[in-house]
Amino acid sequence: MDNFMYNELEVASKPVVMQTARRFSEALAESPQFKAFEDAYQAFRQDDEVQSAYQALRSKQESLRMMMMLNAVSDDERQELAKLEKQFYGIETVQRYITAQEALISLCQEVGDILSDAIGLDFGSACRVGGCCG
Amino acid sequence: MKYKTDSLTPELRVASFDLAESLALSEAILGYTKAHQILMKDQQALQLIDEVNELQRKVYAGGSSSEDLEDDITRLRELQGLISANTAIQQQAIARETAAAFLREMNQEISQLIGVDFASLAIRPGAGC
Repeated sequence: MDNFMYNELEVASKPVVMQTARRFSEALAESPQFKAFEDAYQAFRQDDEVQSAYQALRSKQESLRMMMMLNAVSDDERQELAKLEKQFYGIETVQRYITAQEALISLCQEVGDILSDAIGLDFGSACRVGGCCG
Repeated sequence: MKYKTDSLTPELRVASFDLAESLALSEAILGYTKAHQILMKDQQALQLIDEVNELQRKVYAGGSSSEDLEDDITRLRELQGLISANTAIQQQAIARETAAAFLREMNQEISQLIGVDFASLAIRPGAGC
């Protein structure tokens, strides 16, 4: 944008930007990846086996947190943790959720690239609490 | 095109580019663009920034003698003072924060509508401003 001229007539007002943001949100929510993620998430939340395995894994991770920081976890505990992880991640509903989440993230990253390229800032980084780095 | 959009439906592609265009034409982003262009043309400011970055890398990397380290830290403080007094750098920083605040507001609007924080999904690992 050499010799860029700040022309007030070209400025998009906030209501206009909001409107495009709403239309974008609708299009994103209608995308196959978003719908698949919503379905997978609902299934994840409603699956008793998943929730039980998740709680067991979280509980073990919490109980070992301090020992992990000190690198003082016994082999038996490590094996127990690995077993719980395998049980949890081996459930089809969990795999489906992870796959759907990854697809949605990939989609949103592509959109993020479009936004970032247009505005000259990394969109995702700029939106972090505390703003951009540096 | 520097990025791929294969995964986007036609509707989402259009909506994404429309959003990108309106963001780019918003007052906050236009202000940042202008301030950034001014900074990029200010050789003195750019040299200051380069020297600070280089010195910070050297200090954090370690390995210098304590005397050299002390000299480097003194110089770093001087440079940070010069940066604080440099209009182009300060104006760009202010404009960047204004732009970031605006983008956060837009992200909040989007995130409320879709039920998920959009920006956290859009960010690439290791991305910076």
